[in-house]
Amino acid sequence: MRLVSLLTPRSVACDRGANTDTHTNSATLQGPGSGLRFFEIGRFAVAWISRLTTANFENSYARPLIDMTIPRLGLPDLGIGLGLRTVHFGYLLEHFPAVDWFEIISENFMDSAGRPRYVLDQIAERYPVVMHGVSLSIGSSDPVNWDYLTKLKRLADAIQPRWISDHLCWTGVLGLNTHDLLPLPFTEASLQHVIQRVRQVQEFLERPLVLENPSSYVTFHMSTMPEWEFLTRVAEGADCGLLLDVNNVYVSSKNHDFDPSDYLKRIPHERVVQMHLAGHTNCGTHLIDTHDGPVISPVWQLYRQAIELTGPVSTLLEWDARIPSFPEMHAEALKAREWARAPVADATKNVGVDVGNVLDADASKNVGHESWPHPAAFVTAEVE
Amino acid sequence: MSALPFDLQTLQTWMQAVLMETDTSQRIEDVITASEQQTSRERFHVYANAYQARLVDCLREEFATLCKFLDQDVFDGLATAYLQAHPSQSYTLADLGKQFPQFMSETAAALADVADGESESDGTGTQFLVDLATLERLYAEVFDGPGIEGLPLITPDELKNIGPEAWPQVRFEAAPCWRLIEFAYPVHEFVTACRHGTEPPIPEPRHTWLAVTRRQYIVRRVSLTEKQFRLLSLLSQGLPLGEALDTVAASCEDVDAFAKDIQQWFQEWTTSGFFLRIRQINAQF
Repeated sequence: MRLVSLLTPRSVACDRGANTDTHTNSATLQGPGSGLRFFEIGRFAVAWISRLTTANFENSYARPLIDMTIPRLGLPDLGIGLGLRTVHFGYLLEHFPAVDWFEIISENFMDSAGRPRYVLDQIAERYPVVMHGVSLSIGSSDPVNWDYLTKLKRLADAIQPRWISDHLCWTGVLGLNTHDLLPLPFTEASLQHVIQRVRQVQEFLERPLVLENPSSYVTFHMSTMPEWEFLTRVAEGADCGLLLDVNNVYVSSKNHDFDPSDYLKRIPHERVVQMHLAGHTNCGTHLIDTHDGPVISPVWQLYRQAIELTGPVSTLLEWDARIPSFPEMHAEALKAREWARAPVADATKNVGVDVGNVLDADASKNVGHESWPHPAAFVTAEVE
Repeated sequence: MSALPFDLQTLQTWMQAVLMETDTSQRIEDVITASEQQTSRERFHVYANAYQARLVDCLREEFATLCKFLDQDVFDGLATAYLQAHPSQSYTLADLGKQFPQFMSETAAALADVADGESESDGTGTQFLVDLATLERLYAEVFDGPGIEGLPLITPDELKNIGPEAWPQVRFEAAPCWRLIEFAYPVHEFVTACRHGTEPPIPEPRHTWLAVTRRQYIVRRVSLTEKQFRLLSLLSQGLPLGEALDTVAASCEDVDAFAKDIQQWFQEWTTSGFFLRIRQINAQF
């Protein structure tokens, strides 16, 4: 039964604007079930062969040891990027520093006709840009917000991001928005619900959606599968990309008592289009994804392990509270290059040792100040 | 909650209600698992605390002067009450404070109690707070709304090219970022002083007329006289210049002085970018 399901042709989202060097045999045909989606024969064939030649499964959704599929859904490795934040606007416009790429919070620019949008236009003219949203609410039981999506698409048409991402979460129901990235119960019903909505969104946006694993602080009795399996099945069922937030894996693993290395091994590596790194806050009994400090060593080690599994992937440092100067933030991000080259055996070993006692291991970091997750930021007015 | 949330919609409705404190039944243990380090309730309250803290923090940033004036604890109490009454319905935090000035106005009686003795029995102290909130909200809207950057604007020289016979019929099209507003207090001076790091005393009540606009992506405010404010208000309503001038002049004691001032006013207003263009019948400048 498993083999049959693996042999079933799966759709592969068209990678518009992606690197062409990975596109061999690039004839296209229209796929079943959707009038708007296209499959690429070359990628499809490679992915299919990969499934056929992979026999070593631990369970239905375990990842093959050797995956021959094209990485990142064919999207480019942009290098090491940074979040575009208002406190750095002046510095950026004055220096236009050498940075590989920028990520924006989509909602901070969708309606802007002021300085934020002006700065974004300047940045988008000079650097690759990726749009990262916090209000798509892909897991909400509310209807899809088409007004929101229309504005999202309008911004994408204007600045031509390399891709659009958001979170595998919900932010509100009954027309309200908590402005938080709330966790989903990992059930078959919510899985099908999310897959169907991701497909809708991708068809509307006419591009693959890239979904991030959020940090979470609760799990539900009603869940029937682990997060990595839910994430994997959403990605494969909806044929979307993944934004692997390594810090979130770490934070959630400590909050929910699972092994972060095991999580990394089990997700579909070829679908990881981007990675996030960030600092977090250790509250003693739990961790909070606060984006307010440097990346701690265990997270770097996990990153090294993740890169080993996925191959080179666009990597971005998030820093949204107590934001340092741009050069300082950039220097922190550039550490990713060194970590990507570090001996993987040592990194993996260290991560493994760290799993059981991390709440003690970094208990001295960032403790004691007001802490809450920062999925979005308010843009403060500049007045004469 | 009458039943356990076994489907997604019920779960999400329940969870949101508990987060927003509109559901106090809180059968959290039935829904949320415990971890090795935390109980179900402790885990859930990470979200509950974050919900309030994050949104109150956004309001603190938008209404920074008001927050500083009231003291943070008092402001946080107001902000929390506001969020209870007006939970966010928008995908953007830019809309979060949209109704905050109105909320403050509606709760003026309560504000009188929290203004720490500064309030007068006639409500003028609370009016200062409402004015402050209104101005800070206006700044935020003008800052990020449509503007005139990159657009050709009329210049003082272009005004001179309009023949005397054409003036009565011209209409002014306001810049999209331009707003007229009046206050009972000179809150613009108070906000500016606070932004410059000083701690000014509460100003005495003084009727204040302002034009707020934006140039080079920076919000600017211009103090107006009552006559200027009335004239600009009539023009912003689409009245032809002649009709607007006649209306204002009718209440002037010294019409000659008023007439002398007008040319200078329009020079300043065009320089300040108040107007996008001037329209005449069958003509456009």
